[in-house]
Formats: sequence, C-alpha cells, structure tokens
Amino acid sequence: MAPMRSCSLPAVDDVPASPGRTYALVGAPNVGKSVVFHRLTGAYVNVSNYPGTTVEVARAPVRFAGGATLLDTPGALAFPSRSDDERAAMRALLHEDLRAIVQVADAKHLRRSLAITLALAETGLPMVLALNMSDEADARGMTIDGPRLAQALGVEVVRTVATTGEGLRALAQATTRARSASAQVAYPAGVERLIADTAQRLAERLPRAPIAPRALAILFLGRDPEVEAWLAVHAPGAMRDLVLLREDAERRGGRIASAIAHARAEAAGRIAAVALASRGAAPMRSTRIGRLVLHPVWSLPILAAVLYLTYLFVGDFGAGTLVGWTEEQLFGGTVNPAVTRFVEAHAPWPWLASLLVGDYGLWTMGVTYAIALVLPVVTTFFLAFGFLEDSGYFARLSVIANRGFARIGLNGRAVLPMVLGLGCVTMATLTTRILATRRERLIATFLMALAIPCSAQLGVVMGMLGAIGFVWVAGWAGVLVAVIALAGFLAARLIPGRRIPLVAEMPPLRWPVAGNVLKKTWGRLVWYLREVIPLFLIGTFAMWALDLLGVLPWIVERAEPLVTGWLGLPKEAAAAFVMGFLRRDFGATGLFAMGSALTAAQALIGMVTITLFVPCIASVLMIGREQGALRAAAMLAMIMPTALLVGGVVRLALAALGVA
Amino acid sequence: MTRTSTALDLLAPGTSARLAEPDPSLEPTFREHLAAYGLVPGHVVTVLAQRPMTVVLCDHVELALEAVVARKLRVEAPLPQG
Repeated sequence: MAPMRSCSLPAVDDVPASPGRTYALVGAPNVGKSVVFHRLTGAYVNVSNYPGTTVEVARAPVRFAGGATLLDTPGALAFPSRSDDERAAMRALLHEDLRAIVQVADAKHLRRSLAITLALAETGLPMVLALNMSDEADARGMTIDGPRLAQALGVEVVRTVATTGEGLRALAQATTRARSASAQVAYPAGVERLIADTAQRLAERLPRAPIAPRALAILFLGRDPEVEAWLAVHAPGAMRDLVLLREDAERRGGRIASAIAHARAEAAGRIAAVALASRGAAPMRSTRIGRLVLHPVWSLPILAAVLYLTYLFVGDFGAGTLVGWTEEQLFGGTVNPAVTRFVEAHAPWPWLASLLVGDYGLWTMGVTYAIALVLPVVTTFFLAFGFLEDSGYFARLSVIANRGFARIGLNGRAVLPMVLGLGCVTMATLTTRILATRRERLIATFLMALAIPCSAQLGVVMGMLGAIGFVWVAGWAGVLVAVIALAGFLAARLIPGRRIPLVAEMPPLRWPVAGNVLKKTWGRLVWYLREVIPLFLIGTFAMWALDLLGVLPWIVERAEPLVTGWLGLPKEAAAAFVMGFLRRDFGATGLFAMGSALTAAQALIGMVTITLFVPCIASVLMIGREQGALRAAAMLAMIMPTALLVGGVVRLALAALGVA
Repeated sequence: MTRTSTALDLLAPGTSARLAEPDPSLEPTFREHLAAYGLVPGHVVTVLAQRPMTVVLCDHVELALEAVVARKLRVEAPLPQG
C-alpha cells in the first residue's frame, strides 16, 4: 500500500523567492476561520454558525509577527475552485505574496479537511494545520493523534478551540515556523503523466509562479476558472496547447477533475484512518435537539414558537416598548422640543430653521427617524437574528424551507438572506453571495427588492396596521407572500438556468455564545448606521428641497389620478410614494403620518403598495454593485408597475369583499 | 461482479450502509461536490432522517441532501446495527 508519495516538493525553486509578509487562513465553510482571524488579529469579521458567511476576503495586521498581515478567505470546500467563495480563496493564493497558509480544519471532519490539506500541500507554500473545534471532536469520542498526523503530512498540526482561545498561541508560533508539506497525492498513472507534462511546460514559462507548477497544472487540468484566468494573463502563449492537451486527455480518459477529487478523497481517508481513533459515544443532547428541530411533526410548532418569540422581542418589545420610549418620550418629549427651541432662537434665516427642524427637517425628520424609530427595531432584530444564527437554527430552517423555496427556483440556503432582508434588504443583498449560482442570486435579490420589508418598514407597518387589528397585518403579510410566490414562480421559469439542489452541512445546534451574538449585532449596527444615517439625511434634504421648490405639490398633483383613482387613496398619499423613492420605510412613515385620514382598507392598500414600491437607495446601489446597473434598472422598471398593479388589485378585492 | 445497490433515500432512519458508485446520471461536477463533503464510494454513512430531507451522518458531520440527490446516491446492503 502506498497511499502517499513522500517526495520533496519543488518548494525552493517554484514558490516566490522572497516570501512576503502575508499569511492566509484557508479552509472549508463553517470551520471557525473568522474566529481564528479575530483571535490572531483582534479584528472582527462576521462570525456565524452558518456556512458561507464570510463573503469577502478580510485583511488585518497580525499580533504574532510585526508588520505582517493575515487574510481571512471565504470557505472553500475543495479545489479546483467552483463556487465564488472558492474562487476568492484561490485568487488569494494566486495574487497574494504569501508567507504561509494557515489551514483551519474542522477536527470532527478530519477526512474532508485532509482532502483540502492535500490540495494546499501541492501549492508548495509553507503551511500549518489548525485542527479547530477539537472540543466538539472530543465530545464525539474522537481522538486524533496530532504527532502522527503531522508526520504523515510533513507540517505542524495544532489542536485549537478558537471560541475559547485554546491553542491559538501555539498556532501563532507554529505559523512563524511553517514549512512546505511533504505529503502528496499519487494520482492515477495517466493523470500523473499529464500533470508532469503540464507542470513542465508551465515551469518553463513561469520561473517565479506564486504556487508550484505541479499545483498550477493540477488546478488547470481540473478546470479551475481562477487558474485558467491567471494563466491566460501570465502564460498566454501556452494556453492553446494546454487546452488541447486537456481536451484530448478528457476525450480519452474522462473528466480529470473527477479523478483528482477521487484520488484526493481516498488519500485523505487513508491518512485520517492512521491518525484517528473513534470510540462510540452516545448521541449528544444537541444532536437529539437538532433532530427534533427537523422532525416532520415537531419542526412546525418549534418554528412557530421561534417566530412568535422573535415577534415578541422585535415587534412587541423593540417596535413597541423601546420605540414608544425613544420616539415619544425621549425625542418627542425632551430632545426635539429643546433642539427646536434652540434652532429657532439662534438660526439667522428662517429657511435654515426649516431645514433643521421643519416638517422635513434634518433633525426633526432625518435624525429622529433614524435614531428614535429605526435604531431600536434594527437593534432588536439583529440581536434576534444573531441569536438564531449562532445557535445553528438557520441551517435547519434551510432544510425545513427547502421545499417552498424549490417552487421559486431557489433552495433552502436562500433562507438566510431572505430572513436577513427582514432586517436590512441592503445587507441581505450582499449576503446573497452565499447562494451557489448567479441565477439564484438574481432571483433572491429580485424577490427581496420587490417584497421583503426591512425591519424599519416592518416597525411602521406593525405600528399602523397593528393598531387597526391583527387581521390587517395578516392580510398585508398574506399579499406579500402571494406576490413572492407568484413572482418567484415566474422568475424561476423565465430566468435561464437551472436550480441547484440543496446539499447542506448541519452545524451543531448549540446555545449561542453571548459574545458572538453581541459582536455580530454591533458589527451589523455599525454597518447599518454608517450606511443609513447619511441616506436618511440626504433623503430628508431632498424632500425639504422638493417641498421648498414646489415640486412635491406638483408631483402630488400629477400622480393624483393614479393614487386616488386606481389605488383609491387620498391624493396626499402621493407624497408618501415620492418619499418611498428615497426609502420605502420613509414612504410608509408618510402614510403612517396620515393616520386617521385613511380608512382601514386604505391603510392596507397603501402599505401593500409602498412595501412593494421601490427598494431604498442603498439597496438599489447594492443591487447595482452585485448584479450590474442594467439589471438594477430592469428590476426597478418591473417593481414599480407591479407595486401599483398589486395595490389596485387589493383595492378591487377589498371592494368585492365589501370592505371600504 | 456488481453487487446490488439501493438508493440512499430508501434507507430507513437509523440504518448505516456503505456508499456504492452513484447513479451514472449524477453529474460529474455534483459528484465532485459530494466527494468534497466526504461522500465517496466505500464510505459508511448513517441515515438520521428521511423527512423533510434525507439527513446522513458522514464521519461526525450531519449532511442534509435533497431527494433528487439522495435518490442518485447508491448504497450497498445495510450494515448490521449496533
């Protein structure tokens, strides 16, 4: 048996001659890379108990080596890269002048982790292996022989528990001593000949490649798109011949990537068998609860309880109690009267007083709205979201919701951005990157832009329709769900491409770590306020200017036939829709301010229309960034008429039901 | 000689079985994706649930597989329990 070919890697000649000052964390999704990153740098990135939440490469100075930096790459399940996350990780390997790789691995899944180790070993870059979550492996009765594993791989292996900090000092020390791995996979003879041939051709053209020619050859033969793109730039003359070589080989022997994956998995399995001893352990309590959460019968009452508790915390406590205090007592009763008195006493010009504390005042509308109304709602939402995320519940929710999402061309992974969209659609648009294909990202982005209300808007809707009666809130939610179902159904059929079935890892269900939840909430709040407060102020200023120039009354006049005729709302509601251009929740607030001027039916029609109307400016910008300006414009062109159409249909339906 | 195999989604919860070669209609890219999760022929998995989706224990990690995937993953005869 010769599973591993122990040979000297061409490290000295083939990796960059002058090692850089950058270290990279690489590893599968949800193995704790971001926590290790935080421990080694002090910098915080979004840490979740949900695979795929590091959507961009983060970079920060390390504590253990002066002047050096550490990269946190998105989760890579395997190389050659396929997903966007894997491509980002591969880009880091190709484009960064790396001193060493720190592979963060899930100790519970040693075999899978070692397949990545073997792929990284081929790069020739110095590396160290962190066996993270070792406490969870212990709890499952696993014993990993670290020294034996280190000997088999030829790199240092460090046991870590990143959440508690165990082993992080040793990991930092080992990283400074990192060396190239000695272990290599022996591929089938035909594949090995191809690799050797390709590597030789590359070595001749690329004397100073960032990773070893053998790795470049394997990744190219495995059709890694990042390596292909890199080679097209750095070895354009060789590409044509190499592509012909690969195609000819695949015609004769089948897909090379499959042979690579198979050989690596086998080699990893053999090393794992040598280093791992498992004793039978009783199922853990978290495992038993995890099964209950997915149980065909119990999953639904558990889901209902989770939703109800979330509603109590966000809707009742956040949007009710907290907002009641901040908006009515703090701002309405104390802060705003004082600011207004001060400004009116000291402002040299009336227009300045109007700009600051008038109907559309930067303080009385913009700041008050952002701080008094929105902040308590988003804070409680992000706390609840962070709690559920850290508990591992979302991964299970993706399984429960998968069937429903399948009908709209998505799979259960879309649960995370969709639910996050209830907090902030802009942030959720960014999070669609966790979805596997561009098609899924497009559908999810479109549906969120169309019909997912953000928490600020939810707060306003709850305040307005909730005051009229629960049935009106349920009616509003029912219309939105119907719109999502119909729009998703159509999008799934009209947007070319096919749906990817769900294959998902279930992280352990656990009681959330308070520090993680608070840090996540803080990170999201800072992002949100930085993004939102300037937009609130810009939006308020635009409203003030439109009002001053008489444009607002003009638009209200022009929109009257549509607003009063088709939607059956008072003509003043048109102003709310103009505000909705700036932020949907702004528009909802405009309707909210009309209060008793609207009947219950008009409140429902207005809220449905404004919810669907347009995403906020920040969301539109984010959609443009993620999907391109053309698609963002096309979405807007579809969303606005849809909102008005649905609003009118709701009016007709209510009229047919005899509800005025 | 080919041994008979059955679809993973037909295995009762609590049953362990060794993975066989997957159905030929399973796309190579998907097969590679599953290999990255550790689901390779010869490896033993334990079925934890079949509804709402197939959930298997692979090594010490739970993986949820949509029916269309579980149907194409084949297993050899179930291993004796215990």
